[in-house]
Amino acid sequence: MVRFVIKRLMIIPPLLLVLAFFLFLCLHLAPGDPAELLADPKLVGDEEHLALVRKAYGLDKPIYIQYSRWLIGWPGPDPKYMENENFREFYTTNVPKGILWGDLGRSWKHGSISEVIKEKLPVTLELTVLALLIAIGIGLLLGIIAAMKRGTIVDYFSTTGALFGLSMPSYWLGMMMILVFSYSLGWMPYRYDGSFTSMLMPAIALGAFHMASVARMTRSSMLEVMGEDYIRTARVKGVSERLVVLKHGLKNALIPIITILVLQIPWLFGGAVVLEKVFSIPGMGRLMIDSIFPHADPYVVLDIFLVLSVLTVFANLLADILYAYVNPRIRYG
Amino acid sequence: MPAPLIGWIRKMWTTPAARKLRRNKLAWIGLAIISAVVFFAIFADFIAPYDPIEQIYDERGELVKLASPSRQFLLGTDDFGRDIFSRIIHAIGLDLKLGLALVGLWTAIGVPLGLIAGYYGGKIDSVIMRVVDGLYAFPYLVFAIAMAGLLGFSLTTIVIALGIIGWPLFARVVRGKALAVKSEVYVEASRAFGERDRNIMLRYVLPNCLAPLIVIMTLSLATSLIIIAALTYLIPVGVPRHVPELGSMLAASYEHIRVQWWWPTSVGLTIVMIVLGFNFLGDGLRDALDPRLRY
Repeated sequence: MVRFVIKRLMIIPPLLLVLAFFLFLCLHLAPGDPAELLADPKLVGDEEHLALVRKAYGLDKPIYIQYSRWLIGWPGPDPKYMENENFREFYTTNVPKGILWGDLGRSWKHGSISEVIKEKLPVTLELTVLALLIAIGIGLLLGIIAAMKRGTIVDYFSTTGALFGLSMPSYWLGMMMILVFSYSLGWMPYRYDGSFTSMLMPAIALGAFHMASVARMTRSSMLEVMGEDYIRTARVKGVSERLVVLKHGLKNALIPIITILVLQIPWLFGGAVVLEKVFSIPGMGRLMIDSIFPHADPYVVLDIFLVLSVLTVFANLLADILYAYVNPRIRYG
Repeated sequence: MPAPLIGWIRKMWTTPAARKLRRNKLAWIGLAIISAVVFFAIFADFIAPYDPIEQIYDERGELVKLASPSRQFLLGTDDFGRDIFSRIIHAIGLDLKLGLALVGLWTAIGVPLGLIAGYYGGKIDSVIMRVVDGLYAFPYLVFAIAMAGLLGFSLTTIVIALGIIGWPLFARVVRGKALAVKSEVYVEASRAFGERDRNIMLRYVLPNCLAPLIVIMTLSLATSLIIIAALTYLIPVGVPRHVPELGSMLAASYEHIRVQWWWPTSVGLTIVMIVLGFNFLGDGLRDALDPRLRY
């Protein structure tokens, strides 16, 4: 099992490097001078300052050298530049000296990039984890009820409701919730203020899609499992219906549900970026958008992508372990 | 209509899959919605009462800004004095085109890779499938936002950024089918006759992948519309202000949600309707064509 997971995840680091390199390339394919994006906004017109930026970030070098400097801080700038007081100061304070070693450098707008990410990340994590919990909890419940009451009006409503949930853009759902619960009824805050209550609506909006797909999968999976022989055996044995459903039924039905959840983990972060805009949540997504427009901050964008990717990979790893726990029959080969 | 075509339609109409699809009420609803949407998109110029970029002035020469819904303006006017209803009608066509372009891109990348992986197997297969598995574990939207942001936001960069790593599903589905088909007798036979691999793939393997492909293309159209609108909502500057597009309209309307509640509501409902149409039809197609396909 450990071997399988390692084998599966082996592709991730090289893929991550390739994708990051690709983004790096995009920065250079874009019209305009990358030096101007990396320069002090106050000195953008200053040719001397731009020359300094080009040297410090290695923009005068081939792109793979720049990439390697950003990634591992090697090769550094020419030692003879370092004798220049101005250059040394600029280089040591601003240029990232290897994101692999945790030095993300500094942005003119946000200051130390690692500091700002450290500050924003917990907010985004709170949003995504809460959304996931809501999606799993309510999704499972709805799915089980629909499967148990198959063919009744309850089943009909939750099945159709799930289809609507799958078709609703989370950002629009968030807006409608704000319209109804904040502006019309005044029950909930319309923007994030740091409290748990204000995180509730964005989390529900973000989780709705996943809730719908969990509910759908739970229903079909439960229906399949509940027709198995061992369920009948358990019933004949006199096991209480509740125990039959939860222990014998649900535990076996969980496998495809986890599969579909794993596939959706990466979508959570993308959705979080969008919902952070709707609810003005100061998280990674807001930071990312602020680093794209109006003044691009390319290294911040790259770093956010890397951090969120690594997180997704860890979430996948966790799900894999959970998967093996739920389904001991699985032999990863 | 020419006779062979009628004969073909009659034949298709009575296949078991078609019968199953015909009995599916939701699929019919989906088809009706999609037909209506396509109709609106094609005849937008005739249906929309106003030009979508025309700023409307009243008889006193003042701009009709943020008007409430009335008989004159079905859904009111926006902050630039343009008729919201007309803008939505025109936006449908643009968003559909973007969605089709995106799904086309996914198909163009995913299908050949899936065919090659499934047909050849071995090393090539394991490399391609590793990459596919790996891409599944990446925050796809975050990558697309980063890429489009670094390239400079525009409708083109949005579609390219979303297209370039969104294809794994297509590769996986086609690969699974190709793997199953490749050991069929007719494939073995044509190989024995010395048919070239490329011909076998295109003539025998690909047609067998069509059923699941149609299903995932339909369902992916639904997803693609949501994510395209998500990106244009996030960074509306990518869309020129006058161009009617659903995501950027949603972004513009959000500032006025307290008073003009019908504006974001109607734009969003339009997206939901279109997406629902494709989801209904896609679900019906899956049940009829390939019930075991998990998506």
